[in-house]
Order: sequence, then C-alpha cells, then structure tokens
Amino acid sequence: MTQSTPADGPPPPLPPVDHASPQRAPGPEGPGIVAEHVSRAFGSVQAVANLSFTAPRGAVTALVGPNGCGKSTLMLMLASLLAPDSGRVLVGGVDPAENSAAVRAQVGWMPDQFGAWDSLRVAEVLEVMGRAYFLPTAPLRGRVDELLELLDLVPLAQQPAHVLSRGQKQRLGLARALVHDPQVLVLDEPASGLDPASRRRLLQVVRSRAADGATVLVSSHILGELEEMADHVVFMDGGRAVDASSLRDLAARPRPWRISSLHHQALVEALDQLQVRHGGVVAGDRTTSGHAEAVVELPDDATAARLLADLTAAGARIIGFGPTTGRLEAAYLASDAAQREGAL
Amino acid sequence: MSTPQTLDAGPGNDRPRGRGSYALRWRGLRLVTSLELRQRLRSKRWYVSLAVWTLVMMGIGALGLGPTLYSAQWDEVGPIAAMVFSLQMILVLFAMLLVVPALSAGSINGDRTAGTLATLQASLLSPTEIVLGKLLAGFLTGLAFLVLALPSLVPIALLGSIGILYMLRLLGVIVLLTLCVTAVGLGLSALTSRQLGSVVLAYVIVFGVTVVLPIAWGSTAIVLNEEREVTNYYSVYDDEYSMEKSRCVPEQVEETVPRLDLSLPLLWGNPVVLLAEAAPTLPADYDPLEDPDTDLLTTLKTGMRSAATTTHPVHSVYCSPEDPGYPTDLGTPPNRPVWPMGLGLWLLVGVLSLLVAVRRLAVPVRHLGAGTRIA
Repeated sequence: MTQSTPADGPPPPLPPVDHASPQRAPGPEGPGIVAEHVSRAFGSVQAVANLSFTAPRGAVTALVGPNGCGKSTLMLMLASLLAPDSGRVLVGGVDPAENSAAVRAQVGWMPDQFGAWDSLRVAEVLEVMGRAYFLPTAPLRGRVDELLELLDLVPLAQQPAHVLSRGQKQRLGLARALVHDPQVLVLDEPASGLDPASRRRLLQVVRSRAADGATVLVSSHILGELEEMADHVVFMDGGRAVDASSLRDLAARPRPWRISSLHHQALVEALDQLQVRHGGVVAGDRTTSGHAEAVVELPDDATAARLLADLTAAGARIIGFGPTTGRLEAAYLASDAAQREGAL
Repeated sequence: MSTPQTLDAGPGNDRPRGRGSYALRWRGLRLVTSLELRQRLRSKRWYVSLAVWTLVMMGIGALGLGPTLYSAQWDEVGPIAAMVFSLQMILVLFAMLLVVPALSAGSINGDRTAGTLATLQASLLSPTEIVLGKLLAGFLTGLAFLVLALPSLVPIALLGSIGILYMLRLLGVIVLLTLCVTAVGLGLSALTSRQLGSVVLAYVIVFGVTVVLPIAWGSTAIVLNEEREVTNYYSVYDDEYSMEKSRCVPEQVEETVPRLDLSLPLLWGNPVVLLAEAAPTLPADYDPLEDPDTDLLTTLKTGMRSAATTTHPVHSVYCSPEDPGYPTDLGTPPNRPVWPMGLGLWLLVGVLSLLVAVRRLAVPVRHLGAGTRIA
C-alpha cells in the first residue's frame, strides 16, 4: 500500500501517476491520495521534507509521528490550503495546484483545532458548511439532521457552538468535514478530547466511510485507537515518511509479550526449560494483577502462539498471555522518533 | 448508527470553473454576508452601541436647536439648523470612520485566528466570495449607523431648508467612503497576521488622511510659494490734500505668491473635504457680508476650491468699487472640484485593497507571512 521514504536514502519508486491528465475526474481506480517527494518549509523550519506515500481508496491510513513532524502541514496540503515548495500531491488524481476547487470538492478536512463562529448554533454550523459547498437546500436539511444523528449531536443542535466541550467540538468538527459526503477524509487528531463512547462512534464513522470507498487519512497520538481504526500506517519523523506498513504486516514485527502465571516457580521453570530469554519473573506480590509475570520479546505473532502452547505443556499454569502494547505502538516505540522525549 | 448517504445533488455543481480565485456566485456572496451579519446581529454589544449612537445623535440635534428654538425668532432658526445639520453630517462621517475600521480591519485575520477562515477556504467558496461577502457585511453594518442618524438629521434638515439633492449628495459621499474604508480595512486585515495590528493600522490611515495630511498641507505654505509678477489695483488720489477724489490704477509688482494648490493632493483623500465637496457652490458674486448664513460644509468647500486655484495675477484689488478705473472684469477664477480626485483615489485604493485580500486568501497558499498560520 504505502511507499515510504527512508530518512537516509533515495525514495523508493512510486506507483505510476497519469501525468497526462492531472485534472481528470476522480474515479474508482488508483489511490485516493498520492504524495510525491513533497517538501514544505516555513522560514528556516523544514516542516515536510521529500515526503512520499500513497493512501488507497476504501481504507484508513494512519499518520503517526511526534509533534512537529509535519503531519498537520501535510494535511493542509491535501486540503488544498497550502502549496508544497516542491513535489506534488494528488487527491483523487487531481493536483490542487492545477484545480484546487476540484480537490476541495472531494476532501473533507478536519483540523486539529476546531474553529467555530461564536454566535452560530451547532445545526447552523453544519448548514453553513453545506451551503459553502453549494449543496441544494432540501437535501442539505436532511443531511444536517443525518449528521447530527450520526455524531450524537441532536441534543446539542440548538446550542451555540462555542459553548461545546472539546469532545463535543471534535464531533461537530467531524460532522462538518462529512457534510458534503467527501470521497477523501483528512482528519487531524480527531480523537483528541473524545470520551470512550465518542471514540467508538468515531471509529464506526471512519470505518463506515472507508467501507463506502472513501480514502481516509487520520493522524492521532492515541495509537491503540488508530490500531483499531487503520488499515495502513505511515510513520513520520522530521518531515519524512520513515516507515510504512499495513496493520496486518505489523503482526510480523517483534514486540514484547506479557506472560502471567498462577505460580511463580512454575513459570520460572517453564521459561528455563524452553530457554526463553526474559528480563526476570516478577512475583505475584509485586505485580498489580497479583500473578507472577514475565515480559519476553517475540519476533512475531506466530512465535507467540507457539510459546503459549509450549508454556502450557510445560506446566507453567498460564493465566494471561498477551502483548504489552499494540502492534502500532510497538512499531512506533521501536523507531528513532520514539526515543526522543515528547515523541508522542 | 447510520452510514452517511451520498447526497443526490453533491457539491461541485456550483464549483468555480476557470475563474478560480475570482469566481463570484450569488449564493456564495450571500452566504458569507449573512454569516458575518448573523454574528453581529446576535451580539448584545452591537445593539447597545447602536442605541447609544442614536441617542447621541438625537442629543446633539436637541442641544444645537433647543436653545435657539427657545430664545430666537422663528425666522432665525433656519440658518442655525443648517449649521447644526452640517455639524451632524461631519459627526456621522467621523462616526463611520471610527466604526468601520474596527469592524472590517479585524475581519480576515480575526477569522484566521479563530480558525474559521481556513474552514471557509477549504470549502468551495472562492476568495472573491469570502472577501466581497465580508465587504458587504461591513458596509451594511456601517450603513446602519447612517440610517439610525436619519431620525435626527431629517427634522434638522427640514428646519434648515436643506435641499434634498444636497442631502442625498452628502449621504452618497458617506456611503462611498464607508465602502472604501471597509475595503481598505479588509486589505489590511488580509495583510497582517494580528487583528490588533490591522485595526491600529486602519485607524492610523484614517487619522492620517483626516488630521495629519491637512496639517501637512498647511505646513507646505512655508515652502510652496513663488515670486510672481502680479497686477495690483490701488487708489490714487488726484489732490494730495484731499481723499475725496480717487481713481483706480494698476501697478505691476513682484510678489511672493503662495502655491497651496501644488500641495492640494494631500487633501484629496480627506473625508471632510470630500463631504464638503457635496455642499452647494456659492455664486461667483457671493458676498459674505450680505448673506452670512452658509453652513459649515459650504464654507469649507468654498475655502478648498479657493485653495485649489492658482493665485490669480490680478486679484489684488485695493480700490473702492466706486473709483473710476475699477477693474470690472478680472476673469472668472477657475472653480476646480476636488471630489473627482478624492473619490477616485479612495475607489482606487479600495479596489486595490480588495484585490490584495483576494490574492491573500487564494488557496493553495504558496507564500505564508511570518507568524501567519493557515489553521
């Protein structure tokens, strides 16, 4: 799916792009988003540097990286608000530099900070945005009602937007981005400030948009949720795409697993018998679960499954066996960016 | 949870094609204008300021006319009412110059700070629709102050026998200036990143053309003068010991003549001068001693027109009109209007400001000013 640009080395070849028809109407074929060697600087700050990646249609692509790594700048370029200094982006096959309006018509952009007109009510915000996309009046009213229902905003419909809590504003921001039924969704930190129920709702909305064929690009620091939401991930650092993978492929990467046992000595003996390297078994009186625990680094999920079977056969009295982090978090924590303070 | 359904009539039908940043559609213009107006109409401060303004205008009218009506004869009310009327029109003008920059000069960068501008820019609205919508909203807001001054202005105009055309000309000038100042404010708002900066800059410009430039113009009298041969007419007496018989004789002399007409462009943009230009022109044979009842704007206009005229080489006549040889035809002094240049200047600056604002709002943005965020 995604093409990454290693930090030190030439970018890998990109999927072919139809240069002859940069303004062609978006069709079902080809990736929804293509970034080709995109760079953008603000003064002396290089926000995005030679970034290349693709995001397929009908899937959710996650952008993961530390603060200031260029995620929001990239999203501004995809929303046709900011031009790259060099390189180009294609949204639905259209270059914003060539036909900005065509790109804006198919992109639903949710910024990381919600800006609301102070005096407008929640329903009015959606109505105004629908009109800003020149939606006909009759379908727009139905659309506004539908989005209020979808994002659980009906009780707030007549509330001034500026009095909403952060989480409520995030829901309104998502509804605003969806108002014109965009084929490409660009969501910058959509889960920020959401309560658990709203996060589930966000997950469902994003997945359903992808299931309907939309291209969804989402950034977040909440990696556990991204793992549930995304099909693909692009890791960014220093304005570059430093890694990319499908979530499925991340299962084949090493990550730490926690083993819990009812009996400390049984676990120690089983691990020794199987010659598994570990950092020591912690007795039950020193763990929050009350069980003896050990953490082991395993290369992939298949090895983990074998180890579980072997430990059980060796009489380790296993009560719990699972990864200490999600696949996404493990992959991110293994990156250079994660080693820096404030990386997420 | 339902899944978002595809809209039957999706976006793009009204998509600006070919014209890009300069696309202008009525629906887009109406949306931005109504959005801006709706925010103001829902603010209590807005109604309070309008009410205070109405009361101030009514109060000034009453204060000007009240004592006169109480103490003077009815036939003396007209000239005083005309004077009060002209003062009120100047006050309305000043009020517009105070209110309009505050409304328009923070309109774009204020929205940028609030995060609402990027939302509109990311939609299908064109920069022209956003800028003109804000212009129209700011303009209509400014006009509200003018409309609310009318209940005070009209009765005084009637008492002062102010002609309807005169009044319409005055209102026309104020309307045009309001439009242009709004446009300039928008341009500044698009150019600067901070709302406070653009509002202050707008006030500096308004203060500059209204107060500083007239002072600068007056100061040029020190340097802008020239030695010129002029014809002066003096009374010469036949009898050395009697002053009963005299005749008027010309004398060619070299004199230092002020050339304030050269620096008059400094006053072209002055709003008060432009307002005064809407006043009636006094007849060529107007004698202020015989008919002193002119209003303030007419007096200002006469002064400006005089200043706009190069000093006539034979205008210095020190004879009595009864003297033989008194020059009967000194020629008609040119009566050059200032308003075409002044309004032209404002319109030019206003249009340029709008173009700047449209350019600054065009997306995708290539050059971003220091300290400016898109969203």
